[in-house]
Amino acid sequence: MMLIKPENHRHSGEECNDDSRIKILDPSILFRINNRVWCQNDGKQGQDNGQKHNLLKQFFNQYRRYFSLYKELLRFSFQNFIVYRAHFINSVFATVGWGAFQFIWIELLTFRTRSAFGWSKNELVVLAISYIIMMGILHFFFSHNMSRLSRIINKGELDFLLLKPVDSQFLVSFYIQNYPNLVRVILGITLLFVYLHITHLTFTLIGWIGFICFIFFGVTLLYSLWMFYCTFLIWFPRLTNIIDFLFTIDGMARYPSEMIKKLNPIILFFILPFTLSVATPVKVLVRGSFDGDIIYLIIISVGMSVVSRLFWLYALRHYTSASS
Amino acid sequence: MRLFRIVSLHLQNIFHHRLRSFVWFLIPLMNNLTVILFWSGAIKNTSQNAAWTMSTITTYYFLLTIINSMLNSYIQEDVAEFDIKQGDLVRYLTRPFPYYWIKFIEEIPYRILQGSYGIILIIIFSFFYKNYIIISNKPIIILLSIPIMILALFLSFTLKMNLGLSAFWFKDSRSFFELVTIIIIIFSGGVMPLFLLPQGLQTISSILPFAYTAYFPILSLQGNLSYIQLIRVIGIQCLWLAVFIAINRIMWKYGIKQFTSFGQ
Repeated sequence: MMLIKPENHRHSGEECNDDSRIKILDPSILFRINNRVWCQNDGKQGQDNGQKHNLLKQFFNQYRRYFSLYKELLRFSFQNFIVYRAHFINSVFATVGWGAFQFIWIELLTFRTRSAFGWSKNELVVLAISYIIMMGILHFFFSHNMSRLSRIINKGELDFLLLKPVDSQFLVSFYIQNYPNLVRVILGITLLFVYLHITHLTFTLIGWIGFICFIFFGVTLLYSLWMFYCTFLIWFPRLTNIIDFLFTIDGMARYPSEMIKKLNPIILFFILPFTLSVATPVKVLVRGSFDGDIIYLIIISVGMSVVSRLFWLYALRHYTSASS
Repeated sequence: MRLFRIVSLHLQNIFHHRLRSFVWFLIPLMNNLTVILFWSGAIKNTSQNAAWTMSTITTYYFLLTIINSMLNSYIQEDVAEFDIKQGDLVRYLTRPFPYYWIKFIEEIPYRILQGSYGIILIIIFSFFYKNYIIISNKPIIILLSIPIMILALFLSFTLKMNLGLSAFWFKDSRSFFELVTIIIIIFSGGVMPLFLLPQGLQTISSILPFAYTAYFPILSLQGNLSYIQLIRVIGIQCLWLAVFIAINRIMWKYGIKQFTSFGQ
């Protein structure tokens, strides 16, 4: 998005510590976090002061800028949570409750079952525990932002975000971090090690490294899918319960991907990516082998990241705001 | 007649947002369809149980979806968040109806619409897969199942109302609701039928009221309960309902004294 840049603007995209900039710039294009003022970046960094930067430097400047902005957002979210301590403690209890529920759920389902779809009972439990960890990561970073997105589109407040001098997708995806979900991640990791200790299951080092690497791809894929589906809210702002629906579809990731592959191809097309995101890293962990699903996971996660980005930019062109 | 008009007005309002309501219906449906799919692969590796076949599994989870849509109330968020915290309770206090009954009238259209989705779904499904849906065809069983379902609706509604009324004392009760929801799912047969659970959990769930809001209505419709068992279920439902209503009266009596609101 292009914004009119005032004269005498120094390095755009840098943090400005002097509040005098407020007088120079239109306040609506400034983004304030913890009394620090962030200036507009229009992608022509360096031209104002006559210096020519190469592309690599621009990229690192941009990266550094967003990284420091994200650090501020992390701090902002944390302070926001601890201001309401009772709410924070309550949220931790609820989050731990849902995490524990996933474990109880699979324990009950497999109480009289030895295996399903080629997965032994122990492997199914490890899959459910990994689901707890990955959902903890997803909810910590993204899902609250998506709930917020549905709210702000519905109320027509997206306009304010679009006016800020930061990439809109970055801002709608990373604005809030849901700290209670870190407890869910810790719970999942603890459960995993306790379960492995009790059942005497051992995995190879390659399996562990692959598991951690593919969790990254899995979370990227889940984020891209959430972003893609939530973008539809720009056309259907009343459909705010799409978030609850996404939570439900995420629940499919608790089950083996072989089970979902039995479905009708049309349904498979929508659900399989969710299942691959959790089942593939777990397969690498429990079987210690890099089988065919890994390629699918890498291709789909990279592909969906690009598609969700393009779809978001396309949708913004059709955003009419609340007043129009 | 006046009550009928009020219900029909609420129904119009809810029908206006029918797509939203349909998404709410899809959520438990998706969950239950996935569990059916899981059992299709797991049943041959499950320790033998004559009562647990693919057709009983399908019937159980389909009925669970319908019963939950039709009988399971979600009024607690509404009562706690909008009425008590945001002060909407004021407009109910001035009406010539008890608060409990106004909320019940508001809840009925939701249950009608969601229940209709469920009935349409089961009709379509049983048209294509007739052998997979088993519902009792004995008139007496069906006749006795009706009061069980009505009592299940009241039981669920009163329980959720009481949860909502807890907001008179607690500033943030959302996580409390979520923890209770988890307990309800486990002990009402939301994961799997209670007879497949470990013995200890079966005993606990038969004492707690949650199984009487979903599990026993399903068993009665499937024709898995004898006449004596059906009457026993009705008796226990009445007992729990009396307990919940008594708690509701007490909570309302003392809770309303905690409530403050302002305006011009």
